[in-house]
Amino acid sequence: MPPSLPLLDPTRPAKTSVAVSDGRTVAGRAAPGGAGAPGGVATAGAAGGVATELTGTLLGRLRSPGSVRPPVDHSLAGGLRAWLEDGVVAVAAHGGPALVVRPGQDGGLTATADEATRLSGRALRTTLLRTVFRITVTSGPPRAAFEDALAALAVDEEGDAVAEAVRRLPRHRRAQLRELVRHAASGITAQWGPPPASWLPRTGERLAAPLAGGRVVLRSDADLAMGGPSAGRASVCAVRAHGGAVRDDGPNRRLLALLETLRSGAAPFRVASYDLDRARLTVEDVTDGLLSAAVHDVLALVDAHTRVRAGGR
Amino acid sequence: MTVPTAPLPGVRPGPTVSPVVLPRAQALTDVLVAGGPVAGAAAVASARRLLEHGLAEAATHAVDPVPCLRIRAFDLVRPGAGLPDGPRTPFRWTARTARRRVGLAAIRSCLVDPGLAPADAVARVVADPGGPAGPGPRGPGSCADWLASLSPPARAVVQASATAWATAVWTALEWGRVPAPLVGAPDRWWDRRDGVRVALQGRADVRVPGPGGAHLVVLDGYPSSASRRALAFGALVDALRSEGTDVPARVVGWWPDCGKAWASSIDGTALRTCAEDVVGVVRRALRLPVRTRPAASS
Repeated sequence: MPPSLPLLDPTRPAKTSVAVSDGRTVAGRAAPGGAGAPGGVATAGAAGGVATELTGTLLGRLRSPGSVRPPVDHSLAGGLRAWLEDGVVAVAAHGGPALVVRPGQDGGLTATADEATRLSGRALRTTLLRTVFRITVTSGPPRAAFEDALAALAVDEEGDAVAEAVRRLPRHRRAQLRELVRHAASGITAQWGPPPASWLPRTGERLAAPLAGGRVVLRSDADLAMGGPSAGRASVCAVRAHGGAVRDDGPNRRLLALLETLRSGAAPFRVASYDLDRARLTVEDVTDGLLSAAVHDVLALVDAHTRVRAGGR
Repeated sequence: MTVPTAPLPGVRPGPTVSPVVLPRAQALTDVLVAGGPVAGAAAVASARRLLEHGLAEAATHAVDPVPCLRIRAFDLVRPGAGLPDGPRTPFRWTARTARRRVGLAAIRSCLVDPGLAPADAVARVVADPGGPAGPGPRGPGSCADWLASLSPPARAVVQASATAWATAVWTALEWGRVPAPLVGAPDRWWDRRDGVRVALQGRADVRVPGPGGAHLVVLDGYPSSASRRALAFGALVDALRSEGTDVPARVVGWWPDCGKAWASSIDGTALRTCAEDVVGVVRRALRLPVRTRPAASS
């Protein structure tokens, strides 16, 4: 481990991490159902408290314009990269295709030997809802969520696969999917809108970090990122949207924070997960502890994969 | 942003982009505007001779009739793509293929009005694709006509994709320090019609004109050794078509997905290496054996 990084146990809450010691899960609409209800508002985490917020506060909660941003540790990104490179060196010794570490559909990370994604029924719904989210934060709520998402995906690289998967569904399943998307979209569009352009919002931002000369590649996407490049203080916050089947998106959130740190040289100040089905946002401040945990997540997965590969020979 | 220190055959690294300097835009701009020695007419003539000799030799050995080969930097990275014997995917406009064209149009608007945020500039381009700030001339198959034909949700996704791209590029440089940047200038071509007919298509996202100028090329994903070598391709096209009077001093490749930048100085070795790579692509397309390059001599 590089000397610039604090020795942290990623399984223990970091004292300075709001997310771990006072993690917040928020949604924009006050809902009588409280924490567990769709569109409900909750503050979860170690304390397990519950709070209520009003409509339209999600963007403000993400960015907190008045809050003080932590200064950037200039050696952190290099230290994290060196730590990762040391940890994946065993993979480089093995042959075979590059190992791609990316967010999995269940909230944990996944490592595969190819970059292809499979479009299961659950992934199909999530893809449609992510598109609804993207349209909403770009140009406002779509008119008819299901149809508009399909129309939008027609110009996307994966659009043909989605259209084909939807077309193959039996009529009743298709109607069911349409209703699920329409229902979930109402929560998304009630909570989100286009952020001010001066916040430099962007969607569908791809992040990658090749390690061991490209033998291992870390990948993720930010469904929404805001804030310009750092000039000495943390300046970026990023949101990952996921389907409702995900129990804990923490590892994926951490991976997003890690990748943004590696590529920009400055850690983001905040990362969040947005549950598209339940319309719930989980916000986490980025700390050294969170980034250390992200490295541990990656190395544990790569190590397990390497052992499987080695055992299979 | 990091620049690998290990030398690549035929590639002389340019000025280093410091991995710790913040803001990154300062470091990248420093590299882009640093100037430097320019490959002289003799170096360009040498690369041209090497290329023409290689093409003539390939034509001599070709068995099948040789079609016109269009070669882009991409073909040097993934030999075979887009060539007669390679995987052929017909081009179509998508959010991904249009984002560069729309994003560059938006950046041109931002340069005219620096108070304009990239998201607003992209929204303007998408709202009036045939207008003066649009992504290019209208016409069948054009990006402008395609954009105009889209439904509102499809247009929103194109807008989203172009906004992400344009924001990354707009915030990557300190534009006030880049002298007279040419943003998204038309691709430049060099073609040869004797023997093997080839058309080389050179592209740069930002050109810093003049002696000691530079190209900025924005690329997807992350760099490989092949993609680094291919950086010189646009400079080779400039050198060939201008007979050596308009050659950038360096090409800076920038991969926003991973934050890496690679600056390659364009000297005689870089031009000759790139010319060899072009000949290699042509020989592969004609199913001729490709010579392996000797160890690094630069």
